[in-house]
Amino acid sequence: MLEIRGLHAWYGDSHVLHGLAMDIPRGRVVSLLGRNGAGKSATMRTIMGLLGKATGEINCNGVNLLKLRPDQIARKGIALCPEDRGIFPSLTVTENLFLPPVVAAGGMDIASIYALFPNIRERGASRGTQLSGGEQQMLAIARILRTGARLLLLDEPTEGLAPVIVQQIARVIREIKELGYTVLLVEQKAHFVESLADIHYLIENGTIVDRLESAEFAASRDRVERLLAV
Amino acid sequence: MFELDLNLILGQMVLGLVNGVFYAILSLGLAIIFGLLGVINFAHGVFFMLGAFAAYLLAQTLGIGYWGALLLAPLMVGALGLVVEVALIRHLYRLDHLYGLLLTLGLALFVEGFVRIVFGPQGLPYEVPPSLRGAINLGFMVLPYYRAWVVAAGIVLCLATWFVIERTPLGAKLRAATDNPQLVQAFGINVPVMLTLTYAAGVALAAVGGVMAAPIMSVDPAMGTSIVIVVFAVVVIGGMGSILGSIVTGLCLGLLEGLAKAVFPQASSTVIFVAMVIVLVLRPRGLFGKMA
Repeated sequence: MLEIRGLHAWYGDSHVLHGLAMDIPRGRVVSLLGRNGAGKSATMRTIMGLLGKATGEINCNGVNLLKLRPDQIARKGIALCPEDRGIFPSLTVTENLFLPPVVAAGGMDIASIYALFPNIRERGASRGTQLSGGEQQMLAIARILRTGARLLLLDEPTEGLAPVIVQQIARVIREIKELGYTVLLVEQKAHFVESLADIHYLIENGTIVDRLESAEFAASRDRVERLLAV
Repeated sequence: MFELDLNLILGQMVLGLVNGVFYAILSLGLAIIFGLLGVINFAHGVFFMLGAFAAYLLAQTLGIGYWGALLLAPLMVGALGLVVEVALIRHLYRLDHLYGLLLTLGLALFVEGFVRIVFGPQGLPYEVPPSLRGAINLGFMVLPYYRAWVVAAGIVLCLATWFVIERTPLGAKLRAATDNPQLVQAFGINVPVMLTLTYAAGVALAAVGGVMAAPIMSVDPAMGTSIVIVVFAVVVIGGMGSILGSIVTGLCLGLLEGLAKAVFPQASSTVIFVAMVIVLVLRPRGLFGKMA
């Protein structure tokens, strides 16, 4: 679905991605593991066209995404759930849910979304930012399921959330996977992605240092933990 | 004696409300443009003036009357706003607010000077539409129908604008793009086009005000500048970027100005600025501004 080759990117003057290469096959959950500042969010934002300057190639069905504007990239069926969740404070929960336009047919219908996230229906009239952190995360995921995007970029969806909420999110990601979505899951917690992802990429200093199939992951767990340890 | 004063006060307040409607329409447009584009649109008064001149020209050259002008003049001015945003303003979004202010101020001076060269500095006549001639006796004053129409139509226009922004999916896009334009664009919405259309809509709103003002105020090149100074005080008092705040503040300050005309006429031209100073001291973010 996505082939990234020789990707360099800059935040202002600081060079944050150094020739990053990775593949995100259709229908798979791919994790991107690394410490704070390793370049995980920068990779997400570059795929989405949100980082100022980038060179290299992000190939999506023969198109290099680096040549497109963020709204054109979204229309290719790619959707971002940002690290800060990106709930709009001026909008109600329902308005937040319906804000992203439908970019392709086959998005999840609203009844299924409410079934998956019952709280979102109950809190529909509240301001988006009045929700708890966990509910905001659910809303941020729910609103991109509606759009018909088939590649979901989830940036640390479990950050700062209670264990019970983290389990809920894992359940949601499993359901998404069964529905055939492709997911790029950025995380710092190896145990969270272990059972979810098919392929694991380890990132350090803006470049991929290892690629593990899920079968190899358990055996390499020590090495992964060392990489993630501060 | 007291009876007479009360009549005077009520009468002046009704007239003040007419001005208040223009303040509300203009500050509303300013608030929308500033909220989304981050541009303090000093050219707003000029677009108000151009709305009145467009109405005048439509009548003189094509014989199109008030009601036609009320529709066409905002479209013409909105189209001009479209060009101005694409050609000039959009190049400033990455820079400090000050640059937008300087550009639009320069643009305002240029356009006003140009109109003065073409039409001269004197006021041009614009007739009240035949269907709104005459007046109604309210007991405390004789109110021309046209002014009553301005108040009613102006308030409806402001509330309709508020409704679109606060209660519709289109307005939700606008509010979301004000909160976080990058993310809105990453969801597949063409934000640059949205900014252009918002600027055009904001100045078209000013042009509606200009057409409505044409039969009451003198249609002259300086009419925009003189009103926009008061409108900026309104925006400061109401709080930058608050939609409802700018409407309520505009109307209230019109009333306050009218009250001052009746009670202490010498202060009527300064009362709004005194209010601005007091509000800035007590609530620096304005009456409706969000506290940081």
